[in-house]
Amino acid sequence: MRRRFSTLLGFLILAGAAAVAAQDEETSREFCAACHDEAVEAFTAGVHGKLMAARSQEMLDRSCASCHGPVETHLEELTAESINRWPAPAACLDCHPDRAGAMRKATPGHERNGVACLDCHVSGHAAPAAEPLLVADARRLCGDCHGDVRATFARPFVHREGSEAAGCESCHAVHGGGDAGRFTMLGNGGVCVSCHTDKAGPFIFPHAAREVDGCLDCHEPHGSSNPRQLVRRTVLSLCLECHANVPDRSFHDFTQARFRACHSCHRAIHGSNSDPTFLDE
Amino acid sequence: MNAKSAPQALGLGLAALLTAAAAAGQGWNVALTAAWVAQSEDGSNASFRSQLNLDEGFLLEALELSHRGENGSEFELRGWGFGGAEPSQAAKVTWRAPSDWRFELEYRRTESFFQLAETELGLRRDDWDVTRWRAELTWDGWEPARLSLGLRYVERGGLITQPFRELRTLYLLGVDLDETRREASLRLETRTLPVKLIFEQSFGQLERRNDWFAAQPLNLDGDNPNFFVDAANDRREDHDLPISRLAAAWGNDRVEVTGALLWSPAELDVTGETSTTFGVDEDRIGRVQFADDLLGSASFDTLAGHLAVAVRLAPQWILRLRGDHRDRAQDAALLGAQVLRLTNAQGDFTEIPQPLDERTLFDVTDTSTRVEIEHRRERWSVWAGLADAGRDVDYRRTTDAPQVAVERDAEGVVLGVGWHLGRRLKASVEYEQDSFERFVFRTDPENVDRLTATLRASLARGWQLRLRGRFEDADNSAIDPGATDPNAAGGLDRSSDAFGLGAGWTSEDGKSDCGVDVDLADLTTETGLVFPDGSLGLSRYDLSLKTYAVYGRTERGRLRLSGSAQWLEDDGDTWPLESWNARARLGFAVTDRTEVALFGQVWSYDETLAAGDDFEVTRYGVAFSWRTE
Repeated sequence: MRRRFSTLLGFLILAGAAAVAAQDEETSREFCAACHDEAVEAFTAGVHGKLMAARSQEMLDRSCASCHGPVETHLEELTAESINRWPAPAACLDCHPDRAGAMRKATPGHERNGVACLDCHVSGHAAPAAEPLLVADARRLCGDCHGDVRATFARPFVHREGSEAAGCESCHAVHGGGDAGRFTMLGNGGVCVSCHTDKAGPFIFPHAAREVDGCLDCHEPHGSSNPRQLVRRTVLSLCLECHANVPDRSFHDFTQARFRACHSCHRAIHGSNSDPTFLDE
Repeated sequence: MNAKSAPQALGLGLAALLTAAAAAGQGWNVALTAAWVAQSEDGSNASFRSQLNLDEGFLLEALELSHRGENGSEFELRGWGFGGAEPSQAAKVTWRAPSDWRFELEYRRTESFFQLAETELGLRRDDWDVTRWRAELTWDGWEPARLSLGLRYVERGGLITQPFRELRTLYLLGVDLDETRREASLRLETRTLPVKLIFEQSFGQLERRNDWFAAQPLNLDGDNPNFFVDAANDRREDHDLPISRLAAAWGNDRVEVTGALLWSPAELDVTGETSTTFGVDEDRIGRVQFADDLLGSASFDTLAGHLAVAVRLAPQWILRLRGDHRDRAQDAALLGAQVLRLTNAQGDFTEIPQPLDERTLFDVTDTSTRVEIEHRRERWSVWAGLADAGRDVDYRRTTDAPQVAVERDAEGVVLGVGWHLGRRLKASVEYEQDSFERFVFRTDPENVDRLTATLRASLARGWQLRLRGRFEDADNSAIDPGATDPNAAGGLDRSSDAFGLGAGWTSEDGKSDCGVDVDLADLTTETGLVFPDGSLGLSRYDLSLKTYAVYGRTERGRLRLSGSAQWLEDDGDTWPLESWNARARLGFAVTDRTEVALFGQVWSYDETLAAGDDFEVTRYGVAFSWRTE
């Protein structure tokens, strides 16, 4: 009885192993290449394929099925409809789980508008236009949907890196960094002061507009027609719109150029540690 | 390129080439692109530098060195922008050990320049740079969590000269910048727990040690004699900025919860003296000195957090809830004296002190909640939501000033519809209406209506079409239309709209693409003012922008061509201008691993109402690329 049971168990293990081996073979890159040789060749020679191979040959060998699977239906019915031609985000997130924040339903900006991994990234069969595996330069890519923002980067005064506009990801966590939304959560003054550290404060005499509304009450973050990316062309307009009740109007003679440049005197306009009217740092 | 930077650039270029060659000789993968750029300028160099700050000379466009050891270790170095031709440089080193350690070191430097004829009397000049270092050591050897130790160092140095007013005239004050920020952080990120947690504790310090000097011997105010002889700043400012952050995410097929919390108790200490000194009639009559000797401190506590929940109520219904809270409380004190010191020609002096004892506070509390429900079918979805927000501001500007408390509430609705045909077409229309949208100041919007529409279609054979439009009206009606009190005068009336059309094509192999984008944007803002004579007036800001952009790139055999052009015209009443730029690059692959490229750029800026800041700059050059694989 015992011997019979052992024989049966051995047979089952062998049959199982054979089935798994057969299934492995049917989901292997070589198996797929029998029909899709150009696609497999392009992927293997491409950046994505090379990166997979560098990590693990096994990962590369399973790549067709891991992205386009499950393959069972396709093996039964060899049609384009029976396979995941455009893999869903879940397939990408299997290997890139740290990018899951991008697809959170709870922070739905991209998810609700149907923006998925392959809207921005190439799968690896075609050559990427930019790193990391992007279908276009990152600035242009984001601008395809956020075109009004991209247009502001054509203005004269913009954040730049060299001769190019600064990349969106310099300020925005495009994959939902820390699962906390599209901005990295940085605290006082938001994302701006991570570079403009001198504006971070605290100040003994803070500028109310900055404390309440942050930098964007006075500055356009992406690009502006105005110097210093201000929201108004002249500093006088910008300041007077809030400070209509300028004290001592006989002193502040706006017919003279010097009084139209408010921060010639009010130098510490982001906040002062010595003067409540921001005359000095 | 200035003479000072030319030898540095050449030395750097040589060092990069030698390093790359040596690395290649050791079996490393190397990719290098180096260029020489020439530049011709017409018009205002200061204005061009204020916008782009580009120069001529050597440019290390890109350097990549990588090595994979037999034991599985990986080393990678990437850098760009070094030389004298561009104002930004960056380098990053990544080293991944065969065990579970990873180390990253990043360097970024940006040079900033600003001086415009039409701004701040043409007298303000910024010429400084910021250098940022970041290092991170990550340990992956513990399965439940990843641990990272981070260090950050930021340094700003250089010169600012700016007009300042004393003795009823203008002088130029020089500021020698010396600001440093140091930060250390420890980060823990869970991996195997059902809840993904990220905890980070950082501690930052900012030191400001700026010095002052009398920047220019001549005074700026016509025929008056120059009295400004000395300026000094021994003030020391020290900021401590600890930040604790916690982010969490958990989800299953039905429910998803994400949240984040931030706590930061920042501190500031200020000590030291500043002074400006004026010699009357070259000290023959005597000296006037204004001096501050102050001791200040401030504490600034921030507590912020958000919670977002999504629940799948039924297969096609999703409920979303979101709450945000931010509370910032600041208390500050400044003690000491401002002293006027009068010295006669014999050196005898009199001091007139003005004691200072200022206590200020500034508290802001923001809360907002939003509930939204979405119904999603295979090809379309609709969503609707309600928002409620509040803002409390409590502040006292000086000891003697009255304490002011402002409370505002906001309500809003959002309605949207989306249409998806797989990857072929995605379109959405969303309408938002808010009242008292964070209205605290009279110039803030009280009512906002916003309509946004987008369409993105992937047509056949690699073509893509994009359409977008946004309309917004915002106002803050006159609180008291007949007011003579400026704070009660009329607020804001703002309307803006933006339309965009884009079309693009990408070849099947991804090696060629081209496209065109057209954007039209109008913005008109009218803000109530009270003129110095007490009469009511209006500040009007008007933009009417047309932006056209074309781009393309292709690879054919050994040739690689890319180019783009942008043209911007502002017909608005406020400050009409035209600005355009174009760039092209033609590369020829000499071998499979080397390429020579010619490139050119044109930058043009033309203000309609003035000519002092106009420029036209042409840049052109040759680039050499080499890679080992």
